Amino acid sequence: MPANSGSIFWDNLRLQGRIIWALTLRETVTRFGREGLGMLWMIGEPALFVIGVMIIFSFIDSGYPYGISPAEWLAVSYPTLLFWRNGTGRVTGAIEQNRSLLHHQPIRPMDILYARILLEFASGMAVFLFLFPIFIVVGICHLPSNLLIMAVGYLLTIWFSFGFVLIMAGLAELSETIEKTSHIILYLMLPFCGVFVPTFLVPEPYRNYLLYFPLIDAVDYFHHGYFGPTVPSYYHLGYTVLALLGMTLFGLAISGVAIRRVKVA
Amino acid sequence: MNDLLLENIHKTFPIRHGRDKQVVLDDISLRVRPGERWGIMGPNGAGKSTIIQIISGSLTPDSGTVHRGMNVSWPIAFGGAFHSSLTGRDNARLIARVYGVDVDETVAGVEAFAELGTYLDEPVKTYSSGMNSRLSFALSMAIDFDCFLVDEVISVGDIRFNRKCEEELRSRENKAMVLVSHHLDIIRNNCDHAAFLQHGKLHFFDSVDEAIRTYEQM
Repeated sequence: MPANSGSIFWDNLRLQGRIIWALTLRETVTRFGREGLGMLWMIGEPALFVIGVMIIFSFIDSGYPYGISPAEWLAVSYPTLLFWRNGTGRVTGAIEQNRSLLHHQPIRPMDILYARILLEFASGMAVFLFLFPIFIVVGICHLPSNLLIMAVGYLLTIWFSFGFVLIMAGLAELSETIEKTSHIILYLMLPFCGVFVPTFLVPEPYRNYLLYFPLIDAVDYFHHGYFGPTVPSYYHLGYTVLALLGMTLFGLAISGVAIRRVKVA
Repeated sequence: MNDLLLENIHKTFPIRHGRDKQVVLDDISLRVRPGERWGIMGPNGAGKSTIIQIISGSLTPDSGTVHRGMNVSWPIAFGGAFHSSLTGRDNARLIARVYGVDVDETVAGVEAFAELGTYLDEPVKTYSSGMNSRLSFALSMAIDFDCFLVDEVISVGDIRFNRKCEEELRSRENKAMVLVSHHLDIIRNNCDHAAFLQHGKLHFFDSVDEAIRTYEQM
């Protein structure tokens, strides 16, 4: 019996993997098309965004301490924002838009969300892995102080984005108000994402309050890996992991509820 | 248990902005054994498509259970199972991958059967309903389903293609089918079991002819 149920589990996992992959390929074609630059837009579009923001902020004297230029700060910070921000934009309403696919037995609604998240995150990651070495070569950035810490911080940011995106997908499907205002929520989150307001510029006790939001901890850990000990960073790793675990479970639950609702009407 | 079994299905839809409920299916049960060809009749709005969507799993009933002992197709004919901004060819690729069948073989099969010519490389949203059902029918034939759900497919195509579809279905004798339609000829020619849907209830008969006779007298 255990061996049998085990093999059913693996079969289901393989099936789901196949479906998510098929949907991701589909998504790649509908979003980027086969003509012109095609797949290159996956990196090109967010890259233009990152570079554009860097150029604009270079004209503003932000007065960062520790000899950090605005371009350097944004080169390292801004790409973290692509995950939760673009990811949310991608999943809100995704199930309703893809209702027609639910007629196919093997496709589960969750797979539609996962496929979109996968593609968006792959794009966000590709653009960073593409731009960061270039920034190092042209001298905007230096080599990371501790690559492992940077990678862990990056993965924590992605994990936060996964939970956050699932929660937003569920809420948007359940409430039209959330769906209509999701871009406002995303915009108002900008000061609290560790990118535009560096934690080292925030006075106590407010900095401590900010650290309750796990995204700030994750992004600051990422910064810590890049800047090293010369720039102060603030984070509570244990708390962050726990909070992210909670967010992920809540996200899975609420998108599950939302999906049941979609399939009823 | 390789039957398709619907037990005590209830389904209501909210009306007047959720202040009221319209009962569409009221305690419906249906058993489809392998190889059986069911025709379900009913006037427009009787709930025929609702039954098909509950069988296909895209809609959940308020209560009752659906047991799928066989591998059930999507509702053929009904253009709604495709992605409208993808081309016919890309839809075929997607669906082949979803059902785990060979992609190139599927596309080749669709090319040969659907006879869509160059339109296969145009987005599905530009298709007419007849072209849509050609794609849907050809694609479902490429995948080895045990039970085909047919939602009026045969009535939208042109005569020659309809005949081709009916022949194709008849040649797959060991396959089960649930066909919903208000075209009695289609049911008479393709089904060996029949029922009709009225006021949320499914009425069964001993023979297809008897079902059709009763339905015509209503």
